[in-house]
Amino acid sequence: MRIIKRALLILAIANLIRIIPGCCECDDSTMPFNFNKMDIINLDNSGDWAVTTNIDTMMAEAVAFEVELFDSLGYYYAEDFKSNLKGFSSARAMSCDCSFPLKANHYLTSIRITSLYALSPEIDAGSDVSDFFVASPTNNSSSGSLYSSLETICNESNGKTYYDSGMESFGLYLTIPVDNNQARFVISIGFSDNSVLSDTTRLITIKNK
Amino acid sequence: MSSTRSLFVFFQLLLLFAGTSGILAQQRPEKEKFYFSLNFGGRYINRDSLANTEDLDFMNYLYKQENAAEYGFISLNFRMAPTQKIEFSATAVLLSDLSPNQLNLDIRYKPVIKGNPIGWGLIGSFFIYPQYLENYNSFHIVRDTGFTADLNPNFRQISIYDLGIAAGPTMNYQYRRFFAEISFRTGLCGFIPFNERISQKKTDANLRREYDYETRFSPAVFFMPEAELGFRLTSGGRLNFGITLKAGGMWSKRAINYTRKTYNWTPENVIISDISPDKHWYSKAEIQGGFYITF
Repeated sequence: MRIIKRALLILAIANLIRIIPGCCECDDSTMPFNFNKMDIINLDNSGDWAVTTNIDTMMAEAVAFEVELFDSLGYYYAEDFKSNLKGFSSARAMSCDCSFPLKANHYLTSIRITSLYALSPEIDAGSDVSDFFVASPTNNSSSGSLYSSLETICNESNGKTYYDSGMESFGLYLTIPVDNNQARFVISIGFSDNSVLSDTTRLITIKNK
Repeated sequence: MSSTRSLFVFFQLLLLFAGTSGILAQQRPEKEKFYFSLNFGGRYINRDSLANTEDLDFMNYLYKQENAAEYGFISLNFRMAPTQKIEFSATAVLLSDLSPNQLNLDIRYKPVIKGNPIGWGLIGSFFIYPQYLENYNSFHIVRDTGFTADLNPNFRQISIYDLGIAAGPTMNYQYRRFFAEISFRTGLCGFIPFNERISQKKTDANLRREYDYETRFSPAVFFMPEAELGFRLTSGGRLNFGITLKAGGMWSKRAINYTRKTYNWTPENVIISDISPDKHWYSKAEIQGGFYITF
């Protein structure tokens, strides 16, 4: 009899332990969104790390921009979310504070950059200068301090889940010095649904040392 | 480094437990001898400081003090002699962080010559001990002008471990309360490989680059003489208590060879170089004293 009581006590404790976390369950649903809007912001990369700036003057070897791609309805837009959870887990009072990650309906396939001004005597206005740019994902310290190729940025957007906000952002950095007083670029982003977003940077005044 | 340190602690505990269980398990106490000592000491490291070349020489950045011991330590030595001819020894050493991250293992063979206070023998040793490598980014700070030469703002200091095996003859002397031992060992040692990364950015420019250093085990021959003196203060039954003094040195000519990967802009743009810096004269001297008990 005593053994049965002890066994029941152990079972009761085990079930109690199971019930408490059992009330809290998140599913793996993601909320879809589209990339249909684009912003380009100037980057000041003269220091150790790039920071966004409103100043339109850049050093000849430090021409850099940040590109932001997001849904025109807002950074955090998501369709009305309906939980797939059943039973107690679906009850609001019993559910966890689950985050609802976002997933884009399409991914980046190309980044094309055209210079509106001559960069040097060899690189005329209207040239495709994509090969002279490297990129760096924003808010991603795992990539270290080095840059990524433009292809890497595109590849990493395929199947990417966005946990913080529905926005793809990355920096673009020119690898050659600008041998001109002014610079301006058209940045075109191609997507897997064959759509293209294009925007033009602000007119940059080049400052030599 | 923390995993290496954990491994040492594990081995040391294993040895201490093995020794303790050995004491308890043995049924022939009249033939076995156990020795435990607690010593306090200082360690002096000397190495050449060679002029900078175009390649980083890690040996130039081994921790060095002027006119003082580089490291103070506490040494715990446990010895077990299952027979009169064989003796096993394990030593754990604690540096200023009081973490037992140094291990010495010795085995001695001592043929007994009855009636002669002077004996001889052979000793085989394994050791591993840490030392600081620090401020090596100053090489880049001096050389790479026009760059933020190290984007890591923290003081650069790591522990690297010197590992070695050695063997050689010993000579011992025992007369009444006094005993002494001199050994002359020679062997191979080398620093356990480690990795370091230096990230840089050109001032007023987009250029970023990284140096990844992956050192290689670079064995060097060394010579290691050592002397130990002991004096028994009291004894009661099988238990003896005394004082001990020990001094030793190590000399070798050695280098830290490495593979350097230089990344410019992106990880795909890499230049790989195998670097073998010039060898430095390196020496280590230790002196320590303390108490021992035998039973």
